[in-house]
Amino acid sequence: MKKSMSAKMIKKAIDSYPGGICFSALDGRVILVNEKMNKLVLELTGHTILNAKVAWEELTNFANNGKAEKLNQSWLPKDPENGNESTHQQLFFRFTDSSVWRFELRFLDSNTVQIEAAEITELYRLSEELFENTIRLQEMQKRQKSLLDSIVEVNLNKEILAAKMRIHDELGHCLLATTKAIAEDSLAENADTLRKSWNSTIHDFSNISTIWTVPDSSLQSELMQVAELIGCKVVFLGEQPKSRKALQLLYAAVREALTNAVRHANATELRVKIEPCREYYHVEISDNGGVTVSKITEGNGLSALRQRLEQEGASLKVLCDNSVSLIVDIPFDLDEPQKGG
Amino acid sequence: MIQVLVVEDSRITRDSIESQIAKSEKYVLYASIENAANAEIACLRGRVDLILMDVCTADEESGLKAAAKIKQYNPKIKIIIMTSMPEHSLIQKAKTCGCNGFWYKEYGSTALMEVCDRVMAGEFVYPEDTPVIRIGYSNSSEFTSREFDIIRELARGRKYEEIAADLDITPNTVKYHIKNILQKTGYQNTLQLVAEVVEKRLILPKY
Repeated sequence: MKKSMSAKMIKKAIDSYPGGICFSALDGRVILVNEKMNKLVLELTGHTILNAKVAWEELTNFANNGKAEKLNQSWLPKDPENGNESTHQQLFFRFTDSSVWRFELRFLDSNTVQIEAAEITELYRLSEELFENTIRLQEMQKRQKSLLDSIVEVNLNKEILAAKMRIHDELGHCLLATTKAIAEDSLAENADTLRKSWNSTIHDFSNISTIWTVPDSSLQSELMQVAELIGCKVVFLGEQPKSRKALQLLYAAVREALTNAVRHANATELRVKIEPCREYYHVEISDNGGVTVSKITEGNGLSALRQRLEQEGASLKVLCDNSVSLIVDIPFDLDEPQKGG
Repeated sequence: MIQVLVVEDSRITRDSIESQIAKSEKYVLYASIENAANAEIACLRGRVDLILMDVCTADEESGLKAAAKIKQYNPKIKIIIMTSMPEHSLIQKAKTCGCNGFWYKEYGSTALMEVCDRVMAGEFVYPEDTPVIRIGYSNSSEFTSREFDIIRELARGRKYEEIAADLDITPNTVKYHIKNILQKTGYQNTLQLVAEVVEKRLILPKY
C-alpha cells in the first residue's frame, strides 16, 4: 500500500512539474514520463512517448508540421555548463502559441536517460534581442574603426576648408568695399585703403616662402631636402622597397643614422646601400664622418628604432668598425598600413 | 631675424602661416616641412630659433614626440604646438615635452604671430583650457582626468581587465567610472560614447 502510494505520489509530483520530463532506459523503454512531456511530444510528433529513443530521433529529424517549428539559430540560449555533445544534446521548438521550448537529452548514468523540456520563451526573446544588439554593436564598432583610421584625414580636410573660407571671406570683403566705393563714387578717396586690402589678399594667395618649402612631398624627397639643408647629402644605392610600410621603416633607420652621423661625427654624406636578398631587403647605412669609434652605447634613438623595427619583423645591427654603420633587414612581406593623415 | 621652421602637413594652412611669417619683419622662414620626424634633422646644425609644430603630421608622425626629441638636444629652440584638435590631453603633453607655447588653429582669439612674439620674449603661452565640446548631455569640462584616461583606453579597444591593469585600478573601479560617464552623457553603451568622442576629436588614440 505504502509502495503504491509512493509511486502515485511520484507520478503526481512530476505531473505537477511545469516542464516536460521523461526518464528512460538506454534502449528507450520509458521508466517515467509526465503529462506535459506527453502533451508536447504529441503536438510535435502526433503521438505520446512510446519509446524515448525513437521519440528523440523523431524530434531530431523534425520537419515543420504547422503546429511547431524547429529552431536552429546559432545564438540560441544553450546551457554553457553542458558542452559535451555526446552526453548532452539540445533541440529547440517554437509552437503556434509562440512559446519556445528547449528539449534536453542527458545521460544520467550508464542505464538511465533523461529528456527534459523547459519553456524558454522569455530567454529566447532576450537572446534574440541580444543577438540583434550584438550585430548592431559590431556595425558600430566597424564604423568607429573606420572613423579612427580617417580622423586625421578628416581633420586635415576640415582645416583646408576653414582656410579656403578665410580666403573667400577676405576676397568677399575686398569686392564689397570696391563695389561700394564705385557705387558711391568714392573710389579716389578710398584708393589707398582698397589697394592695401587687395594687396594683402593677393599676398595670401601667393606662395612667398623665403627659403624653400616641400609641397606634398614623398617620404624620400622631404628627407633628402632636409638633409641637404643641414649640409649632409644622402646617397641611395640599389632599388628601394615598393611597399609604403617597408619604406617607412627604411626612412626611420635613415633618419636615425643621419641624425647620429651629423650630431656625433659631423658627416657630410650618408650612403644607403639596399640589396634585395631572398625574403628581405638588406640595408647598410654608413657615413663619411671623421670620428673613429670602436664601441657605442645605444641611446634612446637607436633603442626606439630597434623596437619599432622588431615590432614589424625587421631587424637592426650596429657595426662599429672605426666608423658606425647600421645594418637593417626589412622583410618583403610587410602588411600595408591603414590609411591615415 | 628669427629663423622659423614650420611643420605642417596641410598645404593651405602651411601657406597661410608662411604668408604671415613673410609679412612679419621679425621672422624669416627657415624651412617648411610636412613630416615631424624630419624636424629634428632640420634643427641639427643649430640654425632654427622657433618651430611651429602641428600635432598630427604626414605619415602619422607625432609633432609632440618630435618636439620632445628636439628639446632634449636643443633646449634653446622655442617650440609652439599648433592644432585644430580639441583633444583634452594635448596641452598637458606639450607642457611635459617642454614646449614653449600652444596655439589652437580654430579656437580662441589669440593670433599665431602674437603667440610667437610672446614666446620669443621668454613667455610660456598656453590656452587656459581645452575647448569645451558637447558629448551627449554633458560638456567635456565635466569629465575628470581619470574618466578621460578610461575613455582613451576604451578608444584604443582595451578590455575592462586590461584598462584596470594599465591604470593600476580594479575592474570594478573601471566599471564604476564607465557607469558614471554613461550616466553623465546619457549614452547606452561605451561604443556610442567612444564614437562620439573620437568623431569630435576629444580623444586621439594614436597621438
